[in-house]
Amino acid sequence: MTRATPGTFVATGLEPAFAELPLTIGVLLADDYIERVRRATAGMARIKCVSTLERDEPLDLLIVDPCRLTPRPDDAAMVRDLSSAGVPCVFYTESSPRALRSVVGVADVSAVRLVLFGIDDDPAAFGGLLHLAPRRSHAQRLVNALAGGLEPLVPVARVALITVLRRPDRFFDAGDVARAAGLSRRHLDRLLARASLAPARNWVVGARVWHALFLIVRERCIVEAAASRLGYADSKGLRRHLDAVWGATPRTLATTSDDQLLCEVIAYLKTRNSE
Amino acid sequence: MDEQELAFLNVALSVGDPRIERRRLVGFYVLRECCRLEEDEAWTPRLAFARRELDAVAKEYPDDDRELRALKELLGILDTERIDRPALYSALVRYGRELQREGWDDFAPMVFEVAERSWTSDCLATDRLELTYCHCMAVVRGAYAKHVKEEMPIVLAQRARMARSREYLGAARVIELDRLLFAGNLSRGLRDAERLLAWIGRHPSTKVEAATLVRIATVHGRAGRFEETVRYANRVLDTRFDAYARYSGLHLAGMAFMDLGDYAAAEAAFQLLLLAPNGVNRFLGWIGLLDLYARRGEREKFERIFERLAHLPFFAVARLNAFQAAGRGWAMLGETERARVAFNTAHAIAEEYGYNYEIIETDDLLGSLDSAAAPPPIFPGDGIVPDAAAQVTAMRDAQAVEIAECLA
Repeated sequence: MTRATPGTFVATGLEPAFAELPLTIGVLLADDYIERVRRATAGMARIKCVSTLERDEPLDLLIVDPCRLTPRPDDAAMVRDLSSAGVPCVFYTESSPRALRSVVGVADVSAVRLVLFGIDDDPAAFGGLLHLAPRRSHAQRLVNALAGGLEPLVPVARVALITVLRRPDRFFDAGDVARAAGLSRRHLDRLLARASLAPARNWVVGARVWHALFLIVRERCIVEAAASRLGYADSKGLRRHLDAVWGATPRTLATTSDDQLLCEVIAYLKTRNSE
Repeated sequence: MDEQELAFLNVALSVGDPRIERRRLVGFYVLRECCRLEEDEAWTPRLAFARRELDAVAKEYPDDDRELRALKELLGILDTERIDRPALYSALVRYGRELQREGWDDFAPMVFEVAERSWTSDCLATDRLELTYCHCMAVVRGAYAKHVKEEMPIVLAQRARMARSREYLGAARVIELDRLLFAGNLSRGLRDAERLLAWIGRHPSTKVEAATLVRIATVHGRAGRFEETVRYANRVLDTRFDAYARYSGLHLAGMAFMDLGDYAAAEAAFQLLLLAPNGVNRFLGWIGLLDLYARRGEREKFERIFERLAHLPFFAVARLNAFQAAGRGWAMLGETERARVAFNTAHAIAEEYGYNYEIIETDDLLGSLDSAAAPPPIFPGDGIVPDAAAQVTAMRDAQAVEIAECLA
C-alpha cells in the first residue's frame, strides 16, 4: 500500500488504502485552513466548498469548522444531511474556548475527529488522520447505533465493548473482552444478559464482520486480504462469520444495502441465542 | 470525536470560571492525545501547545497543586519516544483521582474511561484497583441508573478478588456503604459500617478504616447525633491516615462543633481546612468560616472572608453555594438588602448553568429572608466535645503561622 504522506499513523492493519483512491473532500473552512488541508492531502484530493456542492454529489469526507455552521444555516443543514448519510466528518477549528464551545454546540453532527489549527494540523498528522477517518466513521456508525443498548451496562463493560467495535483486531475471543473489562467471563456474560445483549463472542464476531464489510466493499480488498488484516489465519473463518451474521458471501455483500447490513449486525449483537 | 473527549470538553467549558476552565482545557488537550494513542499506537502526540498552556496555568497556582502535578506527569509520559503504557495508565489514574479529590466528579469518570481503554495486561494490578475504586465512587455519587450503581461495587469486589487484594475488597464494601447512604438508608448503612469496622480489625487497612470512619461520622451528623460525629471524625485525625481523609474528618468535626455551639473549636477546624491540598476542602473551610463569623456576629471578619471568596477561582456550583452562604450570613447580620443581592446572584448562577434544584432552593431562601435573620439552633452536648475540641484547637495552634498566611 502506498501512502500520500509519510505517516505517523499505521500499524493497525486496518487503515484504508485511501492514498490509492481519488478523494473528494467537502469543506466549510476559511482559506488558510483549506490551504492546510491541501498540504495534508499532498494535492491528491479534490476539495469543494460545501455551499457549491450539488445534491447527491458523492463525497468521501467532510472537513468543517463548527464556528462557521451557526451563521450559515443552509450550509449547516447540508453538513448535517451529509453526516447522517454516512459521510465521515472531521471538525477543524482553532483552540480558543469560543471555537471549542461551538464544537460542543454542534455535537449532533457526529464528527470522527477534532483537529486544532496550528496544533495538530501538520501535514503528517493531519494526513494520517484523514486517512483513518473513513474507517473510524464506519466503526462509529455501529457504535452510535448501539449506544442506547450499551447504556444500561456498567461503564467498564461498556468501554470494553466499544473498544471491541472500534478495534476488532485486538480481540480474538470472549476471554479477551472479559480481560479488557476486568471481569470474569461469567460475570461479563451475566451483565450482557441483564442488558439484553448477545454474549461477548458475538461482539467479537460482529465487530470483525463489520470491519470486513468496510475492507471488502469500500476498499475493494479481496477476501483473503481482508481476512488477513483482521487476524484470520485464512479466509474460511471470515466467510463462516459473514455467513453467521448476514447469511452472505463476500460477493453478495456489495449488493446489499449498508442500512440492512447494519440492522442485521445489530440484531446479531442483541440476540442471545444466535451463537 | 470519542465520547470521553467530547464529554470532558463539554464539562470543561461549563465550569463557570475562566481560570479553572483554562486548567481543564489543558487536561482536554492531553486527554485527546491519549484517545488518539489508543486508536493508533504509532501516533506521535502533539504536546507543544498543551505544555505551553500548562506552564502558563501553573504560574497562577502553587507548586504543590496536585492536579497540575499529575497533569505534568501525564504530559511527561506522553512526551517520550517510546511511550511506557503501564506508566501512562498509572498517570491517568492519578490525574483522574486528583480531579476527583478536587470535587470534580463530572470530569473524573471520563479520565477513568480513557484509562480503562488504555489498559494493557502489563499495567499494575493496584493501579487498576485504585481506578475502579475511584470510578465506583464517581458512579455511586453521579447520575447513573440504579442497577449500575448496584453493580459497580460488585465489579470492584471481583477485580479485588482476582488480584487477591483484601484492601480493595474492603473498599468495595465502602462503596456499597456509599450507595446505601446516598439512597438515604442510614440505619442499614450504619449497621454495615459497624460490621465493616469489625472486619477491618481482622484485615487492617488504613485506607478502608479512614473511609469507614468518615462515613460513620457523616451518618451520625445526618441523624443529628453531633457528638458521635465529633467522636468518629476525631478518630480520622490520626496521622496514620491519608491527608484527604483527615481533612474530611476536620470538615465533619467543624460542622458538628457548629451545631453543638462550640464556635471556637469549629473555627479551628475550618481554619485548618484552609491548608488542605485540594481546592474543595479549602472551599469548605472558607464557607465554614463565613457561616461561623455570621453566627457570631463578627461583621468585619465576615466581610473579609466574603471578599476573599468572591475573588478565588471556584467552579459555578461552588460560587453559587458561596453566595447562598453569604446571603444567609448577611441576613443573620441584619443586612436584608445585601442578603437579597447575594441570593439573587446565586439564583442567576443557578439559572445560567441550569442547576434546577439550586434554583428552587434559592427561591426558598429568598422567600424566607425575614426568618433567616435568626442563627440556626444549637444542640449542646454532654462531655465528649471538650477533649475533641482541645485536640482540634491544638492542631490549629501548631499550624498557626501557615493559617495566618492563608488568612492574610
